[in-house]
Amino acid sequence: MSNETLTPQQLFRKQAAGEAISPEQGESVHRHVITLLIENTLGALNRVANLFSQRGFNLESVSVGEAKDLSKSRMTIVTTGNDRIIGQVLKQLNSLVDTLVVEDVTNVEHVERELCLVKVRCDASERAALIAVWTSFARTS
Amino acid sequence: MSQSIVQQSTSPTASAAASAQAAIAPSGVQSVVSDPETTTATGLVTGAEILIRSLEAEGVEIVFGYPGGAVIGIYDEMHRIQPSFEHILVRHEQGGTHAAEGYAKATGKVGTVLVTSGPGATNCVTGIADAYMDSIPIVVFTGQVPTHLIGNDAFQECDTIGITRSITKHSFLVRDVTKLAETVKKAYYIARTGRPGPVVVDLPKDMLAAKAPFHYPESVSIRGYSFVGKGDPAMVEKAAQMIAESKQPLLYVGGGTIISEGAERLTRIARKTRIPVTTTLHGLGSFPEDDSLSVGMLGMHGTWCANQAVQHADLLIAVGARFDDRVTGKIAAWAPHAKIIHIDIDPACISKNVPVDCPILGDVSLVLEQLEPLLAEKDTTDWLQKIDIWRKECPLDFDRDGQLRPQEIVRALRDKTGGRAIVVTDVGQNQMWGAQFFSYLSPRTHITSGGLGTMGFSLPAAMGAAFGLRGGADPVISINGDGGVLMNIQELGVAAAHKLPLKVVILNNSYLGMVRQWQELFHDERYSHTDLTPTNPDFVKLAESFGCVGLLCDKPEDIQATIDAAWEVTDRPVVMDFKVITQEKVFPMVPAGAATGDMITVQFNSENTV
Repeated sequence: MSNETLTPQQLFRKQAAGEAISPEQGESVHRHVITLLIENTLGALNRVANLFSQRGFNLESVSVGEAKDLSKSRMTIVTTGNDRIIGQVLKQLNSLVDTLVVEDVTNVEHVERELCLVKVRCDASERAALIAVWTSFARTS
Repeated sequence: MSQSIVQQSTSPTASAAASAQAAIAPSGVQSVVSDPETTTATGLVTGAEILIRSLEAEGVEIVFGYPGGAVIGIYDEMHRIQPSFEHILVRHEQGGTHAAEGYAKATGKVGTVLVTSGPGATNCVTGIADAYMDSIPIVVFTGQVPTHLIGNDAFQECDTIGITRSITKHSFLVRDVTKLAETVKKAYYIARTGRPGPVVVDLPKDMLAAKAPFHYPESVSIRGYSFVGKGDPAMVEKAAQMIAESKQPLLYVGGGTIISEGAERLTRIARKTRIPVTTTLHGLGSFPEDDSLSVGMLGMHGTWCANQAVQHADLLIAVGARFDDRVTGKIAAWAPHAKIIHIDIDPACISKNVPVDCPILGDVSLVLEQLEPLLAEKDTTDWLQKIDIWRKECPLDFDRDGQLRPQEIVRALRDKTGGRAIVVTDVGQNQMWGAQFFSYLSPRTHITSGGLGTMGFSLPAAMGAAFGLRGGADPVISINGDGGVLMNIQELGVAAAHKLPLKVVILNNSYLGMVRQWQELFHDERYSHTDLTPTNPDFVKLAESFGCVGLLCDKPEDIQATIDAAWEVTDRPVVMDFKVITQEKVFPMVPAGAATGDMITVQFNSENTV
């Protein structure tokens, strides 16, 4: 991991050495998308989910499904943390026997989609305007 | 008798004949031979037999176990087969797991445990967690209710895999008897390799009864599992350069060095480069403490000298250590002037607690092998002189005022053995005195529960170590407090039955000493529920009731005679009850959360340096 966030110890050491501490290097928290390829077994999903509670990592969302090769599952996780914590998340995920590939795709080109179901009350006169709004947000309906 | 009959039944007809005999034979025999299919003629054997044959093929020497309903089939097959390994019937499953840990730590091999489902498995939880924290390779086989009953709250059912998920390196639930042998192979492979750890194999009862051909694979491949070997040459070179440039370097050596068999190489490197060495609790023995380069243990109850060296070092070389909070104290103030090189096999340990300047991911022994030729002799005379002042400023010492003090007992044990013994300590004050006042000279001579801090660890772990080292020259000493020793005292009977000459030392201050110490120092002497006087047994009588020798000592002038008497006994454990004073505390001490430089010392005397 390159650009690592400073820990208190490093800050202390920098201060002791009279070096400037740049504000960008604080404990800034980012949202990360991590994709995993795991064994398609009963225990594998449990182990991954368990790791987050065991180590106190944030877990914002998880989705999982069978991969093209049915012996594997594809798992996508959204988590938050500073660089040091995300580094730990990746290393700890890697250390699980059931994980085959761990990838932080946050800065890699990827597609993110969200699903939103909205029920709207409207009469016939407003319908055309509503359709215009929704088509501007999504191509599919 | 049942055995001789079963052993004949190598073909169905012989088996039938055996059945006929069995019908008229006295009790107990029928059930054993009632199944004529217990034969290899068909090429199919039961899961229970597959398990036993797999353990034999794996080269298992000892299984610490306790039978029960779910694993009765395994015990039945064991009775029939008379396997090449020895089964030790422990008296509590927790004792069994600690014994397996002690065996693994003392011998470097994988420890094996076999228990039943439900309570059998839950009783193992403490030992599994302990092995996980201290990276000890053990494989725990737990019985499970039959597959069709899993999830039904069946008798003696528990979700063993779920309960142990966060305290195992990996775990397996066997759902297909044809994969059992392969699973056993995988379990031992995972437990032993990389950063070692505990593996649980959960065995539903129907899997033990089901049949399959037995074939133990030569090797296994696990696609999601890998571990590192050699370090990155560029990083090793960088480390060598950092070492060459440093003026006040310090080797900070942990248990990983011993696990990877790197102690000898580390000692050579330290002596060649004249770099002083401090060890963690688990690192004790990786560098001989009688060497002038040794500054002793660091951390909360480490030496003043070691902690001062850390605070003044300009380079820390962490070797198989993980920057535990008991080592660093207040992390922001720890090693403020040091650049850090970290050699470790576990990627997750690198920069977990302390960011490092030069991480080398690899097996300690292999990385040291790469590093050694790149290092030149160094002149560290000035640095060693500074260290010498700290050493004299605050030596590890104790009062000699006619009262029985625990430190004097540990010193006497060292003098009796010359440091040639395997010392297994429990947790608390006894653990720290055992670490401070016994000189550890070689690897695998100091065993303790460091990470989890499990009271009740010492006695069963010492027993496991003694099983592993039977016939060896060096005695196994178990150092305990009066609190912890009672937590697994039942294993004394097992050690006695097997005639193990354990030396069990109880530093009996009638208190939960370490908690009492904190209550005295940080809680205004409110000794809330730490007085064990009303509930302590007579340890001498207790020892005798288990078939051991019990000795009592309550004054310093009797220490030597007590130890001499204990060493005369060679055919059973000896329990030495030392009634030490209650008030004695472990010093020096870095209070929890304080900076390593702020130690509470009682022996500090600047005049010593003059």
